[in-house]
Amino acid sequence: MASKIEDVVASLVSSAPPGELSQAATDLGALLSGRANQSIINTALESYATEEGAIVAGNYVISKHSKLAGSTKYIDYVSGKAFNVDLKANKVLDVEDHNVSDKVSSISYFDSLVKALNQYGEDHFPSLYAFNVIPDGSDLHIIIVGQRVNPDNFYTGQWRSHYVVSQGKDTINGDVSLDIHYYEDGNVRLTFGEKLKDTTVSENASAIVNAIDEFESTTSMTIVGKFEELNQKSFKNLRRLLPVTRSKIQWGKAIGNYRLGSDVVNKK
Amino acid sequence: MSYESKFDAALDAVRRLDPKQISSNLNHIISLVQADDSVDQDSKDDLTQDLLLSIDQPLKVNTCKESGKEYLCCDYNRDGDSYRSHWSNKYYPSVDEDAPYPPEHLRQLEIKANDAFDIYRDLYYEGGLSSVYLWESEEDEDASQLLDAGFVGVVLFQKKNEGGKWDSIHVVEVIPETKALALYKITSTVILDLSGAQSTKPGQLSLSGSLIRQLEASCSLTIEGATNLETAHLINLGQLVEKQEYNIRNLLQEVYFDKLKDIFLKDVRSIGDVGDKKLEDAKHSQVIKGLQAL
Repeated sequence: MASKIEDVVASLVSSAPPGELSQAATDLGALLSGRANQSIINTALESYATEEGAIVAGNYVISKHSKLAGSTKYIDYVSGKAFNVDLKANKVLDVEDHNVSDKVSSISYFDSLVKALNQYGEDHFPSLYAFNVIPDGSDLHIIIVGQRVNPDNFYTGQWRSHYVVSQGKDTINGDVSLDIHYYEDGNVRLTFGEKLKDTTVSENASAIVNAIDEFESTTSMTIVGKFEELNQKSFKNLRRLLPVTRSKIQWGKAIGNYRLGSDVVNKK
Repeated sequence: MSYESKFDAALDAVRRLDPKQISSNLNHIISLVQADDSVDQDSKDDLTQDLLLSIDQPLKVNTCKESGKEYLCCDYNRDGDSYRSHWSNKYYPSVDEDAPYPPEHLRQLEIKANDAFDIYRDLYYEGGLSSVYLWESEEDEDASQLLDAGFVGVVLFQKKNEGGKWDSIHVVEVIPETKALALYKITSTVILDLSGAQSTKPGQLSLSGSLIRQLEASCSLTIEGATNLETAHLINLGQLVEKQEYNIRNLLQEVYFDKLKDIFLKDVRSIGDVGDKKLEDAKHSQVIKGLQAL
């Protein structure tokens, strides 16, 4: 039974909007109040957040790739800090300086990449923006998160990208996901994902960020096109705004006349 | 934790979690409710029952063996694992004798309402399914066997196409005010899933969820052309459901295609340079200020 509750909580947490993890955790906490189960929720939150990469406290990006070995902490290579996270409170704790120079120094363009990604954020991400650049053997992970949390107007939205530059191979792979939640008088969710596969890129900061910019801008245009396609092809055909007669129905005894009319048409 | 705060937490969770997985999320939440050892079984079952009634799920389709026709199923025509067909007034799979049925006067109105909304369905949906179910107001179960006592009902529509699925659920309570006037309280939910079967594949946009609208209206029961109370209720119900669906369809259009796109491009990731847009916004507000100064 115990393991089953863990699965149930993990499944619920994984369907929460990225910008509303702490609210979802609070709700689940209330439902599980009778048991000493709050740690199950924290475990589920952390594994969901770090699997995909998540923004914490507005300016750090954590991922399973940035976990400090043998510790509960995560490393932010951009600022050279390590910290614990409290995802339920959306906070970082126990922040300390962490020496990243031995890992970072092997990448000659690391500093210029950080600078270029900062500029990229200023150009394209109007709300919260953070990224992490994580050296991992011959792989260089770049995780970007742009997020907007607007509870006053009942919406949250997040763009997340995860790229891997394979050093010495001149290639970049990656995926992006968009997740928007609108919940005024309802619950509406947008999701979209796209992959970047084995694209050639020179191993320098501007080439990498240009490749990311090009892929993400093309993907954004694709999404705008899909809105139009779903509107025209799917939505419009589900229910008419008005009947063919372009007027509302005459209810009452005479309503049978509509059927008479269509029978006459069908029998022709 | 009290019953109320658990109920509220469950509703808030359902409002936040992925609406495309509403049924499995609801089942999971109920299993958490049932797993709470600090609460007695009766109150766990009460909470489960109330959640099933409060949270609208996509409509199921069942086949009526007697008529051979399909009908829509929700918690309101359910008894155990069986659902009552409006075509034959029978439950499928069949049930014990104590399953609830509407009294004769409401069954007669139910048949006529199904006829009328079937025509509505044809005119607006050009396909799909519709079902209407009526039952007695709770307070009046032992009282009048007449329509004067009011009633409760649900009007359902479902339409599918290649790219999407639409479920409408209108729960209506009719409360008599005077001989000539009744109060109609209607809660309308439309569950609209535009994700298609391919939505988990890369490159597919999924828009999915539901919007809810409530309306209360006092309507006349002495309408021109309505020779009896039955017809008056049919006209009022028809007009109210038609009005609700018109408004919600416009709202869905606005939220799914304008609002979400705006949030994406203005709040999450802009295609053009954010700096350019800030400049544009500044110019725009200068123009407005200029106009206001005139």
